[in-house]
Amino acid sequence: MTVASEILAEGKTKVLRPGQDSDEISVIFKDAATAFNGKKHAVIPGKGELNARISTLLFALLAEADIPSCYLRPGAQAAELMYRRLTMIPLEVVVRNDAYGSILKRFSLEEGRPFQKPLVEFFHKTNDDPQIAEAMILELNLVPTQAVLEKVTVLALQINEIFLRFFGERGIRCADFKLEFGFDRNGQLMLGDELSPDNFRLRDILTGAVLDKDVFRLDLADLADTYRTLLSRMQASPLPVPETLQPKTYTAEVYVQSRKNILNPESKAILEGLHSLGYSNVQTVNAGKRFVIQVQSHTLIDAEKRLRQLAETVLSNPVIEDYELRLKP
Amino acid sequence: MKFGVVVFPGSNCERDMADAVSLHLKEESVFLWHEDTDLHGVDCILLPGGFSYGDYLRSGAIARFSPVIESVKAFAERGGPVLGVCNGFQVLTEAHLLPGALMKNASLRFQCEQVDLVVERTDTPFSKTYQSGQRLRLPIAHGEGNFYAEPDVIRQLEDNHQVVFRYAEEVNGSVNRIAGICNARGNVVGMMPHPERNLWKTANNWTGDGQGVFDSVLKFALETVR
Repeated sequence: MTVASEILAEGKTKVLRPGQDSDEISVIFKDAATAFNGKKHAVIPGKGELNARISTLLFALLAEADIPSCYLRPGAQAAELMYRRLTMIPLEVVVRNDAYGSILKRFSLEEGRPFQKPLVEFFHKTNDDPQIAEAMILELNLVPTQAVLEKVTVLALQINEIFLRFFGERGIRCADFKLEFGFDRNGQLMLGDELSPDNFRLRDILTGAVLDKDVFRLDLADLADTYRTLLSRMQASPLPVPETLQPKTYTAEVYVQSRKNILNPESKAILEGLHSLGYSNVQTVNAGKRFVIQVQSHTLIDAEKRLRQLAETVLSNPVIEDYELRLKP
Repeated sequence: MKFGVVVFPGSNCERDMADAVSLHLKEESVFLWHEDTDLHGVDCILLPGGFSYGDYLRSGAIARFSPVIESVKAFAERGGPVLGVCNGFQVLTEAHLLPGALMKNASLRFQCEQVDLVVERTDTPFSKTYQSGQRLRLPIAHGEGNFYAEPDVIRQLEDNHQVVFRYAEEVNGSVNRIAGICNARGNVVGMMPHPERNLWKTANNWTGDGQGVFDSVLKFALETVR
């Protein structure tokens, strides 16, 4: 065990310390549970380790699907994980498949009612974590551009596809969960935070038994026992689940432009033309192509994979062009 | 010797290429349809000018995925001589058989004119009968012949002497006035000017300067056999 170093941050359930280099942090999950914004709290031996192990399993699942995340490897302690250091976006991104929790206070919905399509909601990480609309997120510059917010939404829905399937194959309904995102030092958008049952609503499909932190919120059962049960079910082999998904149509825009520093003759001619028309304040022009593409696919993950391949190998020539893919969630 | 002339939907110089083989060289030529993978035992492959699949996306971008290109790649890897002229050159770059890319001409116009070239390399299968530094006059007819590659790729091309033909004067914006290049091994050559349009005395502005490109293949074959 390394000597306990300075604490970067300590929250209700986690302690963050510097990792081996400036790009890493150590996250230790505490044996603590809180609910109702900290009004209810308790010490639960073994919970920290369980959260770390469940998070590790879920991060590995996402890595298999090439979803970028902060997770690097397990730490030296059982309740410790090593993360890439991210600059976090101050948003809680909630994906809901069924109506539970705070949404029942905002709308009159029957508890547990499945939504027609997965719902993505944003909450601003401030005092009371208020729900926040897209326009306000942009107004407060919580994300750099609208395209980034679209990417966050697409990633959240792709992660939902993975979790719905993974838990579904183990007889568990993934009703909702919370995610947080950030940027690594290269500016790549990725998943941050933890993936523990503290942030999920998981229900046994047959019995309706609660397998998440609601057992603590509502005093239904012992929290550590519940998490232990969940972990063993997650480690069990998947049950065969019939493929019922119908292919969906996804729309994407692909923008192809000359790479930076390459003088595109068309752009140069347009710029000169604009100057001769008196638009002398125009400084640069980069003309390109925009493709609007509809693809049929069973999942958003598969749709993106195919579109990226298409954009990279056919629609653009990487020697002279860059592409940007904007997949509509 | 047997030559294969690849035909894409939209190729329009394949007859001239075939004539260069059968009438000028008096050798056998066959057309290789873009959907074929069988190369019919040819000893040399020619990719002619024109258009391929309309070139709506980028010149050569779709042609590069055609079945015949897979066979051309395998043929080139075995060291077989491959020449791409004009659109054929564009297809070779898109297929990564040659480095770089061909952008729109700096003039933004389709340029159809006679240009002067300097032969820079005389040991490829398509430039063997020329003298180093020899000046050629050949026609060009293209809208996208503006050769571009990253500076380090250009440096590599120059250091390895992979520039086979260079425009004597600025023509279309190409980096270092590059008109034709070869791969590192030297067996794959791409060029924007049309040697097959300057073979016969009936051609406008005839000089006969295009003949060397084809004569070189026979010289190459003789040397290889020996």
